[in-house]
Amino acid sequence: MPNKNGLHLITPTSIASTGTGNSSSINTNGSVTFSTCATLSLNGVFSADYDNYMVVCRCNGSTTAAGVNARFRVSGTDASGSNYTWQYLYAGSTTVEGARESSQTSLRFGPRIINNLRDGFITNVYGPYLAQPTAVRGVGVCSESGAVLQDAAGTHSLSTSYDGVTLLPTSGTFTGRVAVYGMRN
Amino acid sequence: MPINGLVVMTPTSIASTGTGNSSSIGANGKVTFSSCATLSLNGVFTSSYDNYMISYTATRVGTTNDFVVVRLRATGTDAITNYTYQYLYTDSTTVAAARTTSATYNQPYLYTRETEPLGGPLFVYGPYLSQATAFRSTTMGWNGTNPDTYDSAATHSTTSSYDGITFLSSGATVRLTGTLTVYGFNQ
Repeated sequence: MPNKNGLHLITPTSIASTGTGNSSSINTNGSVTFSTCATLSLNGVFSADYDNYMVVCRCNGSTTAAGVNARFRVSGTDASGSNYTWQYLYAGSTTVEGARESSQTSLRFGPRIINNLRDGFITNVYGPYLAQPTAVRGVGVCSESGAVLQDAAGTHSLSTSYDGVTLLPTSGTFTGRVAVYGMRN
Repeated sequence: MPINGLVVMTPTSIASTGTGNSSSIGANGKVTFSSCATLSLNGVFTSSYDNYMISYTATRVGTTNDFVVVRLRATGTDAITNYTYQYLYTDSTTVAAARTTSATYNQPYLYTRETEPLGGPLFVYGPYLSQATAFRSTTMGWNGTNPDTYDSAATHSTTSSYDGITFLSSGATVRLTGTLTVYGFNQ
């Protein structure tokens, strides 16, 4: 039996973005290029074909430091209730710290981002399309002070099936490219 | 037809140094190397992909605890300035972190050992783009007789386009034996 591709690039069925002067577009193979977005919504990226997903993003922010948060969405509407919990891990120079935020309206999805510097993250999303709580784990790099390590783990407690996700900086806007991959079941 | 998400990047060429070194490119793009003081991959970053994952594992020839480090390169020449790296390390109950600025390399890996390999993915964001490059690794390595976790975040601040990467040891006192594969994230 031939080997099968384990990671599939997924094309959103549609996207939407907000923010003064924002733009966003779906590239030929399915990644999304975006600029100056206060929110970026990817619809139709989660489906019954895959349980788990990988989101890969390179980006930069517009403010001194802002986190990349996310909300799951279904049929074009964000789940914005206070059902998100996230834990972060930060290492900057010799400082290592963590904290948990409960009953939030979004969860931490990527690292802090900063103006005109280059950041990146990979976030795995476990079971968003399944009618069960969703788990998230991200590993990121922020170029603040040269380099900062920031990871996040999060959950969304509702047992609802979601087909999309909205990415939103906690302040300002962000610019970059993002792609969603399904891990073959 | 689903689009393949990870694409193996076969180097256009490789080069290695070190006493008794050898290196070769396999049919599917995997690079196998032995006793290399430096191992350089050319033509693995292209305009086709923004972001990459490098799967790497190695043991060492030598007994010194040298970190395994990397440098970006373009048209066969290493970039040897402008790296900043931040690590987060755990060894039993010890948790440690530190940042090094103005470095001559990025340090995404801990020490390896003579027979027990280190390993883990290194993610590289935008090396071929004419912008600063970001790195992130989540690896295991050795600082003694037990495995440790070693994560790093790093940047290279020069806004140049790079098509390759060199692996070496931080103190240039050990040589490395192992395998690696570079993947592009399809976009």
